[in-house]
This record gives sequence, structure tokens and C-alpha cells, in this order.
Amino acid sequence: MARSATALLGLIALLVLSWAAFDGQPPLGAVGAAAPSGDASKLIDMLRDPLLWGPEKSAVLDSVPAFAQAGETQIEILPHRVVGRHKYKKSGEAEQPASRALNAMKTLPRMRVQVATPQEGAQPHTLGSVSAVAFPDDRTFRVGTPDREARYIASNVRIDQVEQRFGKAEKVTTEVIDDGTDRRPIELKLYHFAKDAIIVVTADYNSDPRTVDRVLLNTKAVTQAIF
Amino acid sequence: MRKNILFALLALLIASAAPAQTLVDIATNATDPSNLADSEPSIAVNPTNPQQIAVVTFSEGWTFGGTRGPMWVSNDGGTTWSKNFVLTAPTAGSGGPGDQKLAYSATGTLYVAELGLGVAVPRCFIYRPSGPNWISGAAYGDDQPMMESSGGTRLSPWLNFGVSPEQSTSERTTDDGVTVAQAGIGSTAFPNRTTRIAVGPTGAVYVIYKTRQGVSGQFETATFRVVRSTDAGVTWNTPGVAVHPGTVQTWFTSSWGNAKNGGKIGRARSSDGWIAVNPTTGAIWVVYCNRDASTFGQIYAAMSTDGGNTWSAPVRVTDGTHNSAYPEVAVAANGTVGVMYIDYDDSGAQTMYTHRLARSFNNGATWNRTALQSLTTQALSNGVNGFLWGDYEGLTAAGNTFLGVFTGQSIGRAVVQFDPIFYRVSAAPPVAIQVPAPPSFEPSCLGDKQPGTLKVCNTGAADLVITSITSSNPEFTIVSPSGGFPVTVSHDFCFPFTVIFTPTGVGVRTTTLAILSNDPSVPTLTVQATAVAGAGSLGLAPDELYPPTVIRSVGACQSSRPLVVSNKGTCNLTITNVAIGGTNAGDFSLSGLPVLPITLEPGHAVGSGDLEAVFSPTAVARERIAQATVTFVSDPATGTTSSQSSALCAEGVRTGARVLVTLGGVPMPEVHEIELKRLHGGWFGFAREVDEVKKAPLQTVTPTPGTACAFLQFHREYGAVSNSGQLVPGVYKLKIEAIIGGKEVRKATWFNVDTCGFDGTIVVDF
Repeated sequence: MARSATALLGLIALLVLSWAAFDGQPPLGAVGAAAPSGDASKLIDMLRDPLLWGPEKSAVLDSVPAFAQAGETQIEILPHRVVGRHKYKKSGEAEQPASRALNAMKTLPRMRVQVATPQEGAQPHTLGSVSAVAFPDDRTFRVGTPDREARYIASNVRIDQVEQRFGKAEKVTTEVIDDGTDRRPIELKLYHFAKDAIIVVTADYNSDPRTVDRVLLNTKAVTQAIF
Repeated sequence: MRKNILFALLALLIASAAPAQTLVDIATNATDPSNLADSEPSIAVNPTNPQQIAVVTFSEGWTFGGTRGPMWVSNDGGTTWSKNFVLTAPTAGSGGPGDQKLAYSATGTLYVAELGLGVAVPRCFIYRPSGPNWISGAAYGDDQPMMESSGGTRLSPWLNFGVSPEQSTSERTTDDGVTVAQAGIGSTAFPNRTTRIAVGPTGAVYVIYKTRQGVSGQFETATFRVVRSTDAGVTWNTPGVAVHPGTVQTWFTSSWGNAKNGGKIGRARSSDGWIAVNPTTGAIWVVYCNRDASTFGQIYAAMSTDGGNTWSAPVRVTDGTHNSAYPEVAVAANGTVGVMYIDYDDSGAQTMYTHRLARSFNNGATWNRTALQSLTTQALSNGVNGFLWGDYEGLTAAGNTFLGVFTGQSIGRAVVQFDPIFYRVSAAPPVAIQVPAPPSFEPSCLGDKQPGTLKVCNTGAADLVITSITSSNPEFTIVSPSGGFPVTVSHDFCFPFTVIFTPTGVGVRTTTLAILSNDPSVPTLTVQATAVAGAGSLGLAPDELYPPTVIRSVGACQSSRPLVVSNKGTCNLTITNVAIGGTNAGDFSLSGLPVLPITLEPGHAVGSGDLEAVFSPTAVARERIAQATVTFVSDPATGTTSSQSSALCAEGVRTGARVLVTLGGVPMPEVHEIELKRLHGGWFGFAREVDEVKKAPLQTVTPTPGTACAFLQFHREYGAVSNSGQLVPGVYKLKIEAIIGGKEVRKATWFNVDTCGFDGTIVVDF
């Protein structure tokens, strides 16, 4: 009995916090939906907050289910491109899943939880062509987009600002990308939030190494949270 | 109190561990606020201004149209550094430098090869100056672009992963990278890697690379080869020449070191070869890795003096006690070879990585290894695990100085971290003895003590300690300096030792001076010294021939001949005696003889030339002989004397004359008649016949061998051996009748005879 009461209080507190996080307004499109978990709420907060994102955020988030259908469990959002995290050694290996993603783009589900501001929502909701692309970081092939003029994540936002807004990362890990040649490896610092649903990444080669270089999204978590 | 003692002990420990070289942390808290790892540094020195040094490291990135990438610059020889954001992003997709190498041209323009991180192949760019910044040229290539200049051509070798097998490739541009052209230069038999470039003093270009022939564990079988281009990269002697016999076992690992206890490691896949050229001689030096019998990966060096056609037997640079890799080589103007490398010692709780500089002052025969800095990665806040210092670091030479940069432990930073560490080390050997010239001596004389100066110089960096100097010839002695031996000579100084030459013999005298010092390359330096010892030399005419001289009994008649006793040598000559001896010594005497002994300076003569040997005969004789003997000091050192004689020959006669008749200058065999009349009453008085001979034959007197006497011919003599009747003083008419061509012809001549007179040279010629 006591345990149930505690759980109920916790749930209420979570709902209150989530409400507060959305400036006292209920989540857009959340009417009738189940209340998100704490991690999902954090994820939604971070997806919604313009701090992290560029003008073409909606195009990325809309395409998450398509990447998931292509077998991508995580997508990597760089300033000017989006790629799946699955690494293919050859271009041909990535072509089939890329084709699946491209097809899925044609029938994207509507967001259950609206995370775009009206201005963001006015931007194109498509990534355009998704294909098997060479990814220079590690010389693998990915399902994704080539570099383009779009801006998917915010410019010059620092991880310090992100942590100030959303709290300290749950954990920080390091990933060194060695492309097999003797090019300088890239050291990424991964700041994990919402139980890895969203990972904010900095890179050592940037002018300011605490600048957010890319964002990783767990396609399943994002799909469950906002679709 | 205890804290103070501990602090003092710590300070002592740090001081004792400090390397001799001055290390400068290029980064500061102000210039590196993000505490970046600054790995894979490259260095270049402006040949037209060696105080200007440029370094690039993996520091901040660049953004297209925005922030430029950094370049470290020092304008005071490396004492202070500024971080200049001058490298313009090459394309929109690039986030920063991926690989980089810089090099000055011979005219002092700095060029940089950059790999654009985040860019798909082609992803390399040659950067050229543009105003205060550097801008990229055309995209080319794939991996690890290097940079050098050969005249007006820029060359950037790189590794092409786009072909199979991977091939070392060279890019060349004659417009500073605006347009580029490439050529595959590596062997196509195996995959290539570790492509490095050097340019010789004549512009010849050399590239070292390895062929990868099979990986096993952390090592792979490989062959290091050098290809050459003598036309600034247009053509190459692909696949070049192997720099070692057979194959070697070199590093190929992504985990170089030992990461135990939370430590970090590097990678060494292309961290095993480098090349440099002696700027003076053009000799090519290569260094490469090879696991040898020590079981450790070691650094080896080889040299070519024929443009890479043949290579010397490889020599090991490292000491065989630790795994070593990341070699870079540079050659100073004086030929000293410098090799920077890293080794690690994982015997302790934490792996100790040490940057070292090995120098060889004798073409690789021996190596002087110096620890630049040691570190444990646990103590450092940054550093990419698997890429601690990068694939290569920076070493170059300017004149006789090595200048290097490595990614090491910060110095004086608020946060202890990896930073670019600059150093400069003299290429002069620690101790280097040099004798610019052997001692020289003024010409000496026996018995002299002639000083010479032996300058012994120290062209090394540390003190030269001279233990002793010995001479193989006791005529040369080394004056012990006032402080005695050993003598310490500071670097760039010379010590003037005094060598005394005391000749004991004449002529060219030689010695070998052996100088013992602490110069490890030349512990005993030998110097050949020569000196010339002179002596006085007697000048004395060998023969003296006197004219016929009337004997004493007739009158006080005599003949004198100068007796020249001179010093023809270069040193003083002491004359102890001059004497007349021999068969007829009584007929001779000396005149003008000074008191003896006398010392003659060079060129002088006894009696200042007034010394004469006087002949005053006592008998009528064809040959009166004697010797004038001069005794002198032939060895001033011992006082030994020697003698030398001059033969004297004279003829004793009575008053008279001697007549020779010739026909056309040739003595006639016979004269028809010789008539001699004395003129009474002077030249115009009446004549009275004194002598008349008919058919007078030619008489010949041959001198006694070994005498100074002379050959003599005549037809008639008066007052001499063949006709001893003397002529009384007066005027005489001589009439000669000769038969020439069957006809009788006559000639007459007159002569005067005085008291001591004898005219021995009357010649009547028809």
C-alpha cells in the first residue's frame, strides 16, 4: 500500500515537472496521449528546446521513423547532414537500407508530440534524398544525406549551455574515430542524456572543443516519445 | 620543517632529472585556454631568418568563412611563441586540420600541406600565403600530405588509399598549389605507407616509404625504399632502392605502449620512417624501425652518398633496451645527424614514455642519446588515447643547431597536459677537439730554443679537458701550462700551448704531438709538426792559384791571394783556427787574420774580407804547394769542430818572363827563332842580345794531380825552371821568327822587367 502511494506521488511529481518544463502548457499534441516517462520527458524537452537545434530541425525529427525502418537504432545529426550510425564497409551494402529509408520518407507518421516551434514547423519537413553516402569521419558508408546547405543543429552552442539548461549529462564517454588511414583520429566526447536517448557530442578538432559538434538520437526512443 | 625538506628533496630530484636542453612550452594558459592536446607537431625554420620558426599542431580547428586554423610562430628563435589564426578553411565541410606539415622554401616563403578533416577524398591542400593568412589550393590526395620545396616547385607526397595496393604518391605544383599534378612513386608490388620527403642542396628530391609485406602482431614485415627525382618531381626512379638488406620488422600497431593502470597509448602504423639530407654534402640519411635481436622495436639509420643508389650498412641508433618508434631525422650543416624518437618503459606501475634526441657526430658510428622529456599519461589531463603525440613530430636543423617540437608534458601550465614542446640543441658534439693548424716555428739554429704555438680548440658544447700532450721527438717539448695538466677549454675557445723546438740536428725536423682529451670521438688527437733547423756553413774556395812569384832571395817579392773564409749558412759560425800546412808551407803565410776564435754571422767573412794567404817562395820551382786549413764549430750543441782546406799552388821564379807563340790563337808546335835583346838606355836605347834560340818547341807542363796547380804551355821562359837564368830588371825586345806557309815571318814585342817582375803572359800571335 505504502509502495503504491509512493509510486503514485512520484508519477504526480513527474507530471508536474513535465508540465513545468513546457512553460506550464500541456505538450503540443499530447492530448489523449499517455504521460511520458521521466527520460522521455527529458528527451522531449531537449528535442523541443531551440538551444540545440537549427532551423531545419523538423526535417530531421520527422525522418527518424524512416531511419528506424532502415534498421538504424541511432542517427547522427551533424550541422549539415544526417546519417545513420550503422557502418557499412561498402556502398552497395548501404544502398538497400537507404532505399528502405527513402521509401519510408514518403509515408512518414505524424508526430504525436509536437516538438517544433511554429517557425521551425514552417521549414521543410523532409531531408530530401537519403542514400548510401560516404562518411568522411571513418570512411564508412552510411544511410544518410550528403552535406547540404541546411542547418540541423544550432551554431556555436556549447555543451556547458546544454548542461546548464538540461542538467549534467548522466555520463560522459569518449569515442575515437580512426578511419584506418593515418589521418588524425577524431575524438568525440559523448554527453548522454535521457538514458542515451539523446547524446550531445563535442569534437576535439573544433575551434572551441566544447562546441556541440553533433547530436545522436536513439530512433526507437524518439519514435516512442514523439510519434 | 619537514615540508621544507621534502620540497628541497623534490626540487633536487627535478633538477637532477632535468635535461640539458632548454624546453619551451609553446602553449600558454592564454593561448591554449581549452587545454588542447596539440598533437602531431610539425616544425619549419625560415632559411633566410633562422629566428623565425613556424609550428603547426592539432590545436583549434577552422570553420569555412569563419575562424581560421592556428599556426604557432616564434620570431625570436623559439623563446616566445604566438598563436596566429591564419589557416583558412579549405571547404565548407571541413572542421579542421586532419594532417599537416609545413616547410619553408629556400627563399623563405612558408607553405603548408593540410588534410581537411571531414572532407571526402580528395582532401589535401597546399596552403600558400595570402596577405596575413594562408589559403588553400586545389584539392588532391588522400592521406598524410607532406611538404617540401625544390626551387620553385612545391612537392607534397601522400598515401593513396584509393588504389589497391595503397601507393605512395607525389603531388607537384609550380603555382604554389593552385593547380597540381600527381604521380605514383611507390612500389605496386605491396601496399605502401609512411611516405616522407627531403630535398637536397642541389634540389634533388628523395622520398622514403615502406612496402608492407605482412602483419604479425604489433609488427609487420616491410622494406623501406627511397625514390629519387632530379627534375623536381616530374620523373622518379620508381620503385627506388631498399635502404637495408632484406626485410625488416617494423611497427604496425594501433596500441603502441602500455595502457596499464589507466594509462594511454599511441598508434604506430606510419611512425617508423623519416628522411633528411645533409645540407652541405648532399648525403642522404634515413631512419626506420626494426625489431632486432634485442626483441625490441629499434631505430636504425643508413646513409647514401650517391643519391640513393647504394646505402651504408644500417646502424642502430637506439640502445636495444626499450621499444622505440616515431623516428625523425635531421642533418646539421656540420654533418651531425640528429634523430628524435620515443621509447617507453612499462616496468613500473605506470608506463613511462620518453622523448629522446640521439646525435651522431661521426656519421653514425656512435650515438649520443639525450632524454628530452619523460612523462606518464596518467598525470596529463588530455591526450587522445591511441593518438597521444600523433603519427610523427617535428625535427629540423638550421646551421649547426637542431630545432624540434614534440607533444609532451606541459611546462608551467595551470593544468598539466599534453602541449607542444619546443627545444633547440646544438649540433656541435658535446666535446670536440680541434687543432686548426700545427704549430709553426721560425727557422732555428742548433742550440736555439724556438717557441711555437699549438692552439687546441673546443668546437663542442661542453668543456674539453686536455689530459696531456706528448711529443714523439724530444727536440719538441710542450711547456706545461701554469696550472699544469689537465687543461679545461670552454666551448668555442682555444688554448694556446707553447711548444719549444730545440734542434739537435740540422734540416727538417718532425714530431708527432699526441693530445689526450675527453673527446669521445678522438680521445687521442695526433698533430704532425715540422721545423727547420739551420747551422753555420763554411764558405772556402777549394783552390788558390798564384801567379809566378819571384823568390825571396832576389828581393822582398811575394804574391797574395784573398783567403775568403765566410759563413754561407743561416746561423752563426764559429771559426776557431786558420792555418797553413802542407809540403811548402814555409813559402806561405797569412795576412789580416784576426784573433781567433771568431763568430761569423750569416754572410760575413773572417777579417771582413782582408784575410789573405801570402806566397813568398824560397826556391825556383814549378809547383810550390800548401793548404790553408780552416777549423770551425760544426755542431754548436756539442762544440764539435770540423776542418776544411783550400789548396794553394804557386810557382817560384826569378825575375824574367815566359813566351808563348800562337798562330791564330793556337800554340805553334815550334817557333823558328826567338831572340831577346835588352835595351840599354831605356825604351829608346841600344839593344844587346840576351838570348836566342832556334826551333824552339812548344813545352807543356801538366800539373800534379790533386793540386791547385794549373796546366802551362810556352816556347821559352827566362828565370823559371826550364831556363833559370834570370833577366835583370830593364826593358827587353823580343823578336819572334816563325815559318808560316813556308815563308819566314817576324814579329817583335817589348816588355819591362822590374825587381820582382816575372811576366808570365807574353803571347805573340801570328
